[in-house]
Amino acid sequence: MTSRYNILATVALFALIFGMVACSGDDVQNGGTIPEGPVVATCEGCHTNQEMLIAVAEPDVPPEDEGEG
Amino acid sequence: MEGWKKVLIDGEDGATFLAGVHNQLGCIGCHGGQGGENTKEEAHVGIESYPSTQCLSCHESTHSQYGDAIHSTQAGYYDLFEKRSGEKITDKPEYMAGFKAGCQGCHVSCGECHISSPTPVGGGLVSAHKVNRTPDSKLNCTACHGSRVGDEYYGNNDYAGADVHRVPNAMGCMDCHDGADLHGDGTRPIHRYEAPDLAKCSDCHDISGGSNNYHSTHGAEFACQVCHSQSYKSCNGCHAGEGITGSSYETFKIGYNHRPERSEKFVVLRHIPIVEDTYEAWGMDNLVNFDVEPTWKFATPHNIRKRTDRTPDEGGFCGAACHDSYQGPVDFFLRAADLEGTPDAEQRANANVIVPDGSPFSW
Repeated sequence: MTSRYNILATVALFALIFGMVACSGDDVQNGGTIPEGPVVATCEGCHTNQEMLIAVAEPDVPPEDEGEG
Repeated sequence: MEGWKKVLIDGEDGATFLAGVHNQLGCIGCHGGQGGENTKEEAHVGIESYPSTQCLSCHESTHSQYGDAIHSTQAGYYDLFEKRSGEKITDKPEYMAGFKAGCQGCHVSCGECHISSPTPVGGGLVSAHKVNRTPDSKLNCTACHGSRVGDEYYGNNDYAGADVHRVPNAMGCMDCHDGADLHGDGTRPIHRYEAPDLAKCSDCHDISGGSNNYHSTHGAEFACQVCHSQSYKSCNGCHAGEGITGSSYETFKIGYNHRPERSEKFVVLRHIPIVEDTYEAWGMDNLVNFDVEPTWKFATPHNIRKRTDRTPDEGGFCGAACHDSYQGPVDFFLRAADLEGTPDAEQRANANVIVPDGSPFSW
């Protein structure tokens, strides 16, 4: 019984830790996936995440010329 | 460059920036915007992409001088508009609207030289937001100064090679144009050639004394470019709101100097694209004082070579190449014949920079 309780407690603890990490802004910063759910994004988190930036980028408008000087 | 790349902070440069002193204020401390938001649109409300105000807190002296520098004031635009039109850009809202839309973008903030490419040429972080003390020659300087200076310096024009300072030594813009050139020194020049302590060939090359006959004969009254620049680009026709509507073409023309702050008698002249109806889109018919300033203007082409069409051989006689060029096929001098067929105002505007007909020995 104690052993079964320990296993359940360990699983619950891992789930809690995983949940905390997955829902932190650091995940965005470290890149890899576009976050889902109640994530609080940060400036650095988005601007260091290539996939995130690609996902939200607007089409680039090229400049009219290459300078006059 | 794709839009996302322009704002990506990554790699070693990105890490340097994030851990460095220029990130002390944090993103919002410089750019504004909204913290704690989860969408790009909400986070970017009130954002300033190119802030300069916060630079002042540490770089006060540079910042205060920069306010008087040409890159900041664009004083030359205002002055020449007033001289040629008899009016001020600030006189009418339609002038100011046109100026803001078409010309004022050339003003640069601190970050447009030290962090990203300038906005008018598309922007984009140069080194993942790392603050570069020295601007990047290609991504900053010639990103704006590209069609003339950049193409000449890099040898992009098919009629001229790269500047000797580019090949083989690959000097960058800032090797000649130092911070004082660009930030100003507290004085308030109107035109770029009035700025004090501009880069000069003589900063590195002392031609006094020595046994070079060319230098001893002409060094005092010739701009260096008369002998040492290759052919360069001139332009015809610029119309506000449209840009260059005429043609650009290869030129090399020697004429009289018209810049009061320059001591040389003979300089090279570049045709600029101003025309009488340049500002028609702003509601101005013709520039009433078009002839007060030459349209063939003092120029400093950035395609210098020791050997050019005027200095063809080591120890050779430049006279045959230059003095006799009036006999063709290419006359290096700007003469009345070059202005034939142009409007009267154009001919009057350049009356003081053209040289007489015939050989220089007969002038």
